[in-house]
Amino acid sequence: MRSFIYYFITLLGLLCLQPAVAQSVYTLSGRVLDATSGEPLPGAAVVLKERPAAGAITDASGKYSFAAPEGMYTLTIKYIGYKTFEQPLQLNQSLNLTTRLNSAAYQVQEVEVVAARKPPINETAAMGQLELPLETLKTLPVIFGEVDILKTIQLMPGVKSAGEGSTGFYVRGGGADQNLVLLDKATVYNPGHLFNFFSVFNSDALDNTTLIKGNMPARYGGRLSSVLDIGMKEGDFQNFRADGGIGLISSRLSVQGPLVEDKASFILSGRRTYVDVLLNPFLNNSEQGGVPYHFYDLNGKLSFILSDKDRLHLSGYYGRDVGEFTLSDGRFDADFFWGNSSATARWNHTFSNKLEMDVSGVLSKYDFEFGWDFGGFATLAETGVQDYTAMVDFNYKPNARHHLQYGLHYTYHKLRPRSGEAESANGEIFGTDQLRTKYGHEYAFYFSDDIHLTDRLLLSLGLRNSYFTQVGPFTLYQFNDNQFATDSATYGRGEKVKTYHAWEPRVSMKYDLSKTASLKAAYTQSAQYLHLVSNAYTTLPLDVWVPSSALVEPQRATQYALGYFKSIKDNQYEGSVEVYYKELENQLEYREGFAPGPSNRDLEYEFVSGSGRSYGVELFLRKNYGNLQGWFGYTLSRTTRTFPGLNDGELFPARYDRRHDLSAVASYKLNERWIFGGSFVYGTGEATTLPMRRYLLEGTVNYQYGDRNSFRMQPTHRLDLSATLQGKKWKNIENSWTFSIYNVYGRKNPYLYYIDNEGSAYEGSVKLQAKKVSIVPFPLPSVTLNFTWK
Amino acid sequence: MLKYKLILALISALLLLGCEEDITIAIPEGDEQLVVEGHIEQQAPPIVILTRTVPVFSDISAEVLEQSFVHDAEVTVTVNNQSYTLKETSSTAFTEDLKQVISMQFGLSPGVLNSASGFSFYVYTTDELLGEVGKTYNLKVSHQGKTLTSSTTIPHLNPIDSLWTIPHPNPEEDSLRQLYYRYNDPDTLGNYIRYFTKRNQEPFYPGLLASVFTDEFVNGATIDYPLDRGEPKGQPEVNEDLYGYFGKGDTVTVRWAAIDRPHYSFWFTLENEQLNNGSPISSPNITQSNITGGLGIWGGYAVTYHTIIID
Repeated sequence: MRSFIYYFITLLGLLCLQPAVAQSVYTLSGRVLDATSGEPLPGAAVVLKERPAAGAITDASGKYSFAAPEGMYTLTIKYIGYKTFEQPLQLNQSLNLTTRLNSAAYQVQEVEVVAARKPPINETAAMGQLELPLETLKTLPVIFGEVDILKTIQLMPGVKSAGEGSTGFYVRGGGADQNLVLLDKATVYNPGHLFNFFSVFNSDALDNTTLIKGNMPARYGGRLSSVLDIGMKEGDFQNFRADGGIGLISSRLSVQGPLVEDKASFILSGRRTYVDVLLNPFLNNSEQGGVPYHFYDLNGKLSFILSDKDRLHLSGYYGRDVGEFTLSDGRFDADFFWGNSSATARWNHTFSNKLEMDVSGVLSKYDFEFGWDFGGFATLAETGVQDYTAMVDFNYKPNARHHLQYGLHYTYHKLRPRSGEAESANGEIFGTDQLRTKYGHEYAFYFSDDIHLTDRLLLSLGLRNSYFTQVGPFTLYQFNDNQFATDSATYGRGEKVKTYHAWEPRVSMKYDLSKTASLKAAYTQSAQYLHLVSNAYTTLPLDVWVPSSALVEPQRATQYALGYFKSIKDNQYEGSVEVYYKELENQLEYREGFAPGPSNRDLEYEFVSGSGRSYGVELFLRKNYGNLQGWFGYTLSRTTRTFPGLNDGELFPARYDRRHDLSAVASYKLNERWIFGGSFVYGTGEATTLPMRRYLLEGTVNYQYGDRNSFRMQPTHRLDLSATLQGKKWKNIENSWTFSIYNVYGRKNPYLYYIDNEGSAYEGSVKLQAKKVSIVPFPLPSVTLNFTWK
Repeated sequence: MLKYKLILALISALLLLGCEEDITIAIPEGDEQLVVEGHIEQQAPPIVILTRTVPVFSDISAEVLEQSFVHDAEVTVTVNNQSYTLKETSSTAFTEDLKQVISMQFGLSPGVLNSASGFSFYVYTTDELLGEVGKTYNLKVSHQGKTLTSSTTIPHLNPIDSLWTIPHPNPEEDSLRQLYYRYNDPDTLGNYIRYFTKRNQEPFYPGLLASVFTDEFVNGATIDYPLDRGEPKGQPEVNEDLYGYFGKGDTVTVRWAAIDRPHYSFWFTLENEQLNNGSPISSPNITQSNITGGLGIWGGYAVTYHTIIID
């Protein structure tokens, strides 16, 4: 801890340093707000027309800041759905401006329809970073008409879907547990509903979303592969409004408005599936008795403008999947639920136009519970995670050449293993009494500085210094050959069991080759202290998160990336080529021969660890403006794993190794009423393990398997189409209809292969047949009505 | 407890709009491995069935089955430093005693073992060795340069306390009864059981969904728990309405065998793999053999029999 304080003091010292070179470069900063509601507009593009190399994109609170040499400029601010703002500007001192944009809806039609939400691709130092414009996403086709941010990011190069219809994703050869998913700074441990078929993110409640798949800035930590940073929408500070949608399987409603005009606002959003409600009256007499399952989400946010310099946000999320299951003869009766909940309090204080501070307190929880009655025993199985987090983040721009970010993060983790308890009819209790909740302190200190070394060279230096300490109560067991605990060491409450430490340097640079092209390079090291291992084809709600501990070491990654970025025709088009090479250490898999089931031993004893490697090249081409917009992404990559304890120690392809991955996305605005959208994806078949030979034992067929993941399934490809019709406004209600068809040509994409066998060998009735399991193997149409009242 | 995975699989199948279709895929043939299916129990000779694996989609016929038996292997069992050589015997040459033992241990109706059934069946056995409780038996198999080794123990007997039945939860199903057992677990952890049931004249069938138990959660306790009727594996469809139940008037014999841990792990993983074949929430290739250099199981059984006539 002492060294920790030392670093902080060193950093404070750093802040006082002035740059050695001083030229007449000034900072232009400010805020962009909606003229009617006063809401901040995140993601607006602020540029100087005469110097397209200078510019910025507004952050979550509508703020921007960038530097430019002295001169006469035209300040241009563009934001989707708003009238473009232009103003002459003489830059001879640092300026701070507040700009209000008028909605485009009330103005005479303009030729240019949609503005970029982002500065040109070659302008920022960030690599592998994508802002996702939510408005555009709403016109793209989606399954069941449910707009889903997690499905859309899978259309980006370097991001691979965890399977047909799945919200799970893998980034650049990393595991599903290596993605940091944040909702208003709260970690979402299981972002999926219905076995990950739908994400927990209700698009009506969301604001800006950023995916970072490469060089994570130092302020993010705890995961190796990517960050998906999602912000919840702020309520309107001036007017009340309601938005909603009625879809095939769920409906949603959001209401927002001022609590105190221009001072405080609220937004509340809810979504619930209603297949159960709709179908149950018809199924009452059937054996099943109805669809025993639903899920719902609630999002809420309160925002307060305390003063010019202080803002306070309180936000929360609560979502649940709930179901029950009864065997027809009543012998087995189960009910279950799982879900995330989170609460975030964030105070933003502006000391000056140079220094800003964010103080946050976050609570994040994930729970899974499955209870059932069988044979006179009432049994409950559960698992879960609880995080208590405190964060202080500073944003400091001492002058035009430096942009510093530094802060402290602390999280107290409580991770409950998959534990169970059964009570017999006469009150006797049996359970996983050797499994205990694990506790850990994770803390990190970081700083980064974006340094404009010359007009052409931007260097970003970052360092994250992270620690993880496992604390008691904890019992460390030693097992003999028969797997019985022979010895144990016990640690008391709060007692230190094991501490891990990692230096995580994050370095990147950008060199401008010309006004429209740049070269970027990045080097990233990262450490991860929480792990999730899945033995299934996708992650499941009952998968268990475990912390680094005396039993499991932290995962580590090193990534190198190099890219060329080009903006064409005033950023009408943008393109990039990125290559990356990533090495992963302490990757976890289940040991060979692990069969899941209730156990009285910590799951960590069932893990084996090894290393991984991934490398590839990603091409990206996007059209930003005009009636036709969209992008094309292609990834060529290879991802392998080497585990001493698996596959005889030989290298094998990771399950999500995908040689070719292609996606093409387009939306076309025909006129003011109709927008058409489409997406096409293609991917090399997934690696899987299949039987090569068979044998009989007790008269049944059993298998001798080939090498791990040595077989490839058929490639996957799919076309989805949509059409959005802007309805006629009725009184205060605007409405639109979205029609979509998922899997237009009914491709039966493989989800898994297996070899089915039935019959008895001794009766000569054995049949063997290879089977392909597909999910949504037919065109699935859907329609959604969206409305807004204000 | 073992059922919750199955239930989740059912739910996911219900809710995801999945479908299955037959496909034709080319699979490399791979290298042949030898497979041991070996038993030794108290008061009975060791019996080893030695087969080889065949390409997964190769023909299924009595000939192929017959050809999969491995002949002329050198098979020895060693106990207390004394080795016994097991001799290959064809089913046509089985004594009545041996037929009896095989049919009991392997869940076969004696008819299958008759030469008239159409195919020959080969085992390695010896009449010089009978299993004893508490002893460890080492197996060694040598054949054409391949050597397989294994070791198993016949644990001490660990019988059931008592058996009884309760009515079906639905009063209308008054002909069906659920069997219950009471079991007193010894104080030390690490007792494993494999069970089989026999209904009237049927052979002994192992529990279908799970034939093995561990005392991991019930160490030292007395438990009352349902015992599902064993059924032959590989049925095209299990009758869910009848699954697990016995009928009024049945004479039920439970073959209750204490086994050691590697033996338990084999059946636990094999049944898990069979049950979840084709399930999207499981992984393949988890069967944990106790044979070094090959596949299958060399298993010791300490067996007790318990009979109840359901009235």
